[in-house]
Amino acid sequence: MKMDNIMALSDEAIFDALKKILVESFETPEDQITPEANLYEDLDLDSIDAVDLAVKLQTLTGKRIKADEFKTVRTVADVVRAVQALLAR
Amino acid sequence: MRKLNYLWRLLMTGLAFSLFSIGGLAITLFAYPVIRLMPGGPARRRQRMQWVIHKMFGVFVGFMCTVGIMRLHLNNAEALANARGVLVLANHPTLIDVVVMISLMPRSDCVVKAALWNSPFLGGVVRAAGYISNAKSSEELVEACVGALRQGGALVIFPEGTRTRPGEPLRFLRGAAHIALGCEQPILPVVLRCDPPTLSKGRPWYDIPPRRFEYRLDVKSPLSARDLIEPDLPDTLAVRRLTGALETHFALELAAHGQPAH
Repeated sequence: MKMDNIMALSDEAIFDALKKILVESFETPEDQITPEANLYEDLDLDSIDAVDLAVKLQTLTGKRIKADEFKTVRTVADVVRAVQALLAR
Repeated sequence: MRKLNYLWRLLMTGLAFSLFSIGGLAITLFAYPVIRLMPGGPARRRQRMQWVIHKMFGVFVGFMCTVGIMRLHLNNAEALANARGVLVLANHPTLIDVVVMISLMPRSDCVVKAALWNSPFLGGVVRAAGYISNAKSSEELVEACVGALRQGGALVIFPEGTRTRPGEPLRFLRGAAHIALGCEQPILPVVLRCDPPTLSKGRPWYDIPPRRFEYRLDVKSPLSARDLIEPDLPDTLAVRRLTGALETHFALELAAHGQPAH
């Protein structure tokens, strides 16, 4: 394993962590969680859940998420991208 | 004779709808300015406005019963009249549910559509009554509802979010559970039934039933949100469990009275 892999998280690692959160905290059926899945339309999250999810991702990354940043997030892949952007800061 | 009765009820249903609009306009033109001029702060004004709406809806329901469009069967309705600081939850079979309920409640808070809130005709009345506009973010909406309950309001919520789709299983949105868990106020379940079905989702007003409809309103024993779910659940799970528990509770109540839950 290269050093930079330890510092940075791969998309898959973030996806898996996100999947774990969705299954455990939001009781999302695991087989529905795909990168294309829409959090609100496909996975039955509501905007209050989105706030909870943002808080959990903050704990995971140790970085603060601004409400505006998370508003544009629609799909699981968007969340992974948002987390990557957060980690790159 | 049957045909005559049908035509009479069709005519009276149309008249009832017209009366409803005229009544709303009358409140805006006459009751609203008077209440605004009366002494007392916004809280008093809110109570008076809610009382006027309550009386107006009472006249409307009385009219529909008198002309023979509907027959009203009440069970434990006093609990609704005396409701304070209570989250009133009801299933939503018809267009007139909120009207029947408020006709029994001298004080009531409800959530209204943004279109009504901003309506040039009725917006003033709705705002003066302290009703809550749904044109807010979910968090703000839940907060406003919890606030109304803490102030002793009787908040009427239809957890389905819209009228029941006939023939489909009862499906609750999570808003009611968010509100119930946001405060410690009791839940008052109200089970509504309409037979034969009429004024349901996707049905125009003139599609009236073959006979006068029997409208049943049954106020059940209060529930506590905490008793319906396991303790110490994280918020995200508590809201989901409570929504499921309430859905089941109502589905069973409806099924228990011969009306299939779906």
